[in-house]
Amino acid sequence: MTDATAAPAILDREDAPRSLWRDVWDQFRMHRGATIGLWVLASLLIFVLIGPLFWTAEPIKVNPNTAEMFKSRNLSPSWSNPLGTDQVGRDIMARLMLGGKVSLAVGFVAMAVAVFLGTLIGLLSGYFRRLDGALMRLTDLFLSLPLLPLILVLTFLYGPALKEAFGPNLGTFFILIMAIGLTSWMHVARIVRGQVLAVKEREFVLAARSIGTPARRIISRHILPNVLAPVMVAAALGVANAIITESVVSFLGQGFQSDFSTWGSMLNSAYYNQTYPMQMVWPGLAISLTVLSVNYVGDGLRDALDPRIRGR
Amino acid sequence: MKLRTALMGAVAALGLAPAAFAERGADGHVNVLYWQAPSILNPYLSSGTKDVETASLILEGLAGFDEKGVVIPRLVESVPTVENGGITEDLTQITWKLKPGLLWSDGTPVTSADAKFTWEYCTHPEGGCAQAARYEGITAIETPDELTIVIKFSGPKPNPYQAFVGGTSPILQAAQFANCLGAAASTCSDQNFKPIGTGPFMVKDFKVNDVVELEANPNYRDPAKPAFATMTVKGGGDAQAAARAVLETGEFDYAWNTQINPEMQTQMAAAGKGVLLNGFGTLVERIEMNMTNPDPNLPEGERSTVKHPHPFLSDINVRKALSMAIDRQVLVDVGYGAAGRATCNLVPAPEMFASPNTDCLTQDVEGAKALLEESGWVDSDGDGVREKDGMKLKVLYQTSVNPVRQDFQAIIKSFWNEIGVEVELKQVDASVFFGGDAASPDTFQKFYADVEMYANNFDGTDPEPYLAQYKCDKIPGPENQWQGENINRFCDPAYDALVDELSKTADMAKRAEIAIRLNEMLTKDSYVVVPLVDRGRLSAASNTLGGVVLNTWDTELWNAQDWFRIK
Amino acid sequence: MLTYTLRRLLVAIPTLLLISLVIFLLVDLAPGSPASEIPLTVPPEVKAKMIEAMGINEPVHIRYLLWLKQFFWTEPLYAIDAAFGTNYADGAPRIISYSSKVPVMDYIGERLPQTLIVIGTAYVVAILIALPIGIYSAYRQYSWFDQVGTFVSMVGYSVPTFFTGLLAIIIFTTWLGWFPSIYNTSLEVVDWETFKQQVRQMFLPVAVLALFNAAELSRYTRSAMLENLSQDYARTARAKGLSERTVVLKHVLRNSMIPVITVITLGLPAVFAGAIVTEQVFKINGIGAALIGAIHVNDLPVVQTIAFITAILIVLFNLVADILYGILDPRIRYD
Repeated sequence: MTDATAAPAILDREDAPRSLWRDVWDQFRMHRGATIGLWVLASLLIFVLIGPLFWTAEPIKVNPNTAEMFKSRNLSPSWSNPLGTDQVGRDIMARLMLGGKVSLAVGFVAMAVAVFLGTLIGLLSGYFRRLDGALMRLTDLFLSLPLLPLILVLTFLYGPALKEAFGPNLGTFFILIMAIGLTSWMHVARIVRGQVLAVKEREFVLAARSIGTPARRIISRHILPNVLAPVMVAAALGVANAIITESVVSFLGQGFQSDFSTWGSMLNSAYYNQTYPMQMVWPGLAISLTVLSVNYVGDGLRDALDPRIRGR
Repeated sequence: MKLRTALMGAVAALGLAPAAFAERGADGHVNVLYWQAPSILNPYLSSGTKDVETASLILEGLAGFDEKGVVIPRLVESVPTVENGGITEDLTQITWKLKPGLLWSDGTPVTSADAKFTWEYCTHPEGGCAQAARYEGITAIETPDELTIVIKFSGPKPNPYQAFVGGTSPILQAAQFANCLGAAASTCSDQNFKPIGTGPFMVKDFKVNDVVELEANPNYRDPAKPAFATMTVKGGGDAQAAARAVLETGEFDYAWNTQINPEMQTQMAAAGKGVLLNGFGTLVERIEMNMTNPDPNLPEGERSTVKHPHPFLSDINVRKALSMAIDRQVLVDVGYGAAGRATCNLVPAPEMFASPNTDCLTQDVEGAKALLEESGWVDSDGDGVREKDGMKLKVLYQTSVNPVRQDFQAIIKSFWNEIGVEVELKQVDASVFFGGDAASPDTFQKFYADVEMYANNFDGTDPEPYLAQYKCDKIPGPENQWQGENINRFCDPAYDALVDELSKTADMAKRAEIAIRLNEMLTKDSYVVVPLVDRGRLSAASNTLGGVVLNTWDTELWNAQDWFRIK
Repeated sequence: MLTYTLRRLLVAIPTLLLISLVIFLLVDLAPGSPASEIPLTVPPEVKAKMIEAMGINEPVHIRYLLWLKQFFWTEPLYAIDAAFGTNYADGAPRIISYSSKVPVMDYIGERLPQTLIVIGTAYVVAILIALPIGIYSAYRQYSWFDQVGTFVSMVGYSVPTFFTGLLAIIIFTTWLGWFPSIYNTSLEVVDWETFKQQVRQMFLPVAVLALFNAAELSRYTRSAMLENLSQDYARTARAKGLSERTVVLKHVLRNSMIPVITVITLGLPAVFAGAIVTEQVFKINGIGAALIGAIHVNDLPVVQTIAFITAILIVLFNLVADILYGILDPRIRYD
């Protein structure tokens, strides 16, 4: 199927010069899973970011009128509550939007931290021989640590201090992104280092060095652009990973404060209310859909950025 | 359908007839589920309920408590009292007489020396004994003969039924534990995991935090008991899974502490395989008001200490309004169902110690608002939050991480918002909150918040030590590494004087009167402690298990020797 | 090869020491306290005594050195004594859990069978499913089988196991009642009936974990196969007139297995550490459950020891993977 559709692309290239990113985009679009994944991801983002503007039900506050609150507990889906209500009568859809915002924010920011750290360490250790040994030992060390317990311990250890400094919610946010970021940069670092080692010996770098370009500029001008592709793929997979990790940590009860819901903590509290399994299905479904679409996008990116596949 | 009807009939018929022709081991195997798994079978090294209760199948005290809180004899002929001469008139000495012919499960005789040894074991300064409080005030234990145990106290002891009474202070076998005194206590794995006892069962196999396999004690004092030849106490999972295993799937016969939400209580009970048993003890979920200022801008070491009174919670009207705004019945219905009841008392039981106060049970939002208006707390800038002299009524409300507590927080927050109080919620992991680490800012003793919620209770049936916790000299602070028990920093000389009076009073009626007075001073007089829910025990028992009586004063397995299979 | 292995082993020692220090300090500095498990009814003085008896009040470096000594010296002695009936250890103090006073190694020993059986079976099942699917999807790239296979593996890889686990429990245990809800660790398989019981109680966790692992593995297998299928040697083999079967299953498969075996080896330490979440969800009292339980009650010796053993296994299996790589792929020389 791809062979047939890829053929015109080759013809195209012979006709007119095209930018690399155009090629990548064309190849990406050819990956059906990735395209659908991108759409799903976009609609999820719209749901959590723009949704609350239109859906104004109260996600956090409980109705102080106890009689009304009682009547609105554990409702099944209806027009006024499309996904039903939870054990104290809050609208699940509104909570899902709020929780999604937090879960996605944690996912993306933690990924950014991990990718930044990984790229930095990978670049340094690949480019500067003197640092290589020490930095790679550090990477090995982190790879050998049992990560989930480490994250749990980290949230235990620095959580209170950060919560004190930034308030309970922002503090938890910081501790989660730091904990997840600090424990997931190693693969990026390894990939980048390998790539840098290969690129460093290429002629154009040699040429740049021979005319006296400082190391800083060689890295930023010549090496970084060449390692971008694998980093992007790693970043996409990193988002998926971070979202899952956040939900596991919240599920194990170490994440955000309960009134500030995330998908993981919603799943956790629904677990204690199993009479209404649908309360568990919604956040679970949301996590799964997000991770699935992000993974597909990552897959598509990998195919699109791999020149060996792109040419075919 | 037919089978079920037949079974129901059989259950009804046999439920009425006691197991009169029982014979030891005749009823085969029984499965018990403790979702918090037993981690050790020596209650002197762990005060966890799961450990104490499981161990009570094997180890026994001289006496115990029945389901009404009355002391009943176990290894002794009768319970000593002043009337029968077992306790001296001056309340400084108690004499227990062992039943003759008692044997340990290994066949050796039980003697008074074992009791004396147990006292030495638990009071050894390096042993870290978890039940040391039960032996407090004992100056000597004398053993004039093999069956007589004489305990001497340093002063009058109005409640002498502490040492060797109940599942928390059983008798150990001196021969087995001889080498486990002091620092060696924790290294004696064999002894701690397979203690030799006098109880109805003995340990066959023990896997830490997982499962205990037991078999009937061949030397148990009643030759007809226990009816079960073997027992499994399984651990792991959570309260829901435990309730389900008894009520819905019938995999287990008895499950301990199946604390599940009211919806699930109804749903699971409807499955018809078993029943939920509830009983009320002294555990009360409450909100404690901080009488001192937790302001983070105060220098460390002065925050939440008696140096700075609380800016607005020192005003009794604010405290009272906060209490009045709460609908306690809603909390019960959302969180506990049959396992809870609304209460206004810090000491809800035993009956003679419980105050008849029910003022707080009806919510009064308008009254609360009026009270705040009256004492000058008004919302002058229209932001929905009351203020006075430029200070806003803003409350930081903390508790431990726990699904029911978080629901309570959300609901109470909405009540308080309603009367114009802004609320910030905070949850601390239980291991930190109750950890008592002086370096952590988040322990419940440090109380770096305006109000906090947790549950507490007292051991046995005597509330005196519990009420004594609110004396002025028990206030936590930097000088005692924050280890005091007077969490709200309540200090009233009249209260202290009354506690001292209680400790000198022996007459039961008089004691009850003082205890009720003390309880009211803390609750309805001052609203320093705002009790919410009297939390009962909720356990699940299969319809085929007979003889189960839920006991909140001793261990739940207190009468496992009387359990039998309904056929 | 041998010198390489030896060198790597020597390098591993300081790495492991550093890891042990990091783990010890991280766990030790955590703000919780084992005192939180002691009920509030116990007076503070008694509580202080109990804490003191645990040995927590010693300075951190002394506890670390003691723990190291116990881990690397005392515990192996006990292991030798247990194996050969000797008495080298002579009652030396062991690493003892705070909450249950059990020697931590005995505790791990009690937990290991469940973890190895359940997680190990899941791993084996995952490999058995993943390899054929991966191979066939690569061979028939973009066929409907590949599309479906890729989608299923993508789903398996993306849906967190706690969600699939909870769903599986609600559907198969609560509603349908096909499987027991509590894992019975004292079940001994002696006959057909107990074997059936064992299979029944293992089925759900194994299925959920195997789906997750298989998804990951089949993706690796597929991409390794794809890479090799388009190599020149495959074309040469075909051109020589070898049967398709021989080309794919002999030439291509063999070369594709190199990275896949590495990935399998790297995943093995997780079989020991247990799947924390899966064990939690399915209430299997294995190592993962022991770890999370110990974290919750601040049973520091248990957390430190389990985490460190896991780290040792990770380092060890990394080394094994590298060596395997060298053995399987003669082009790679480590000297």
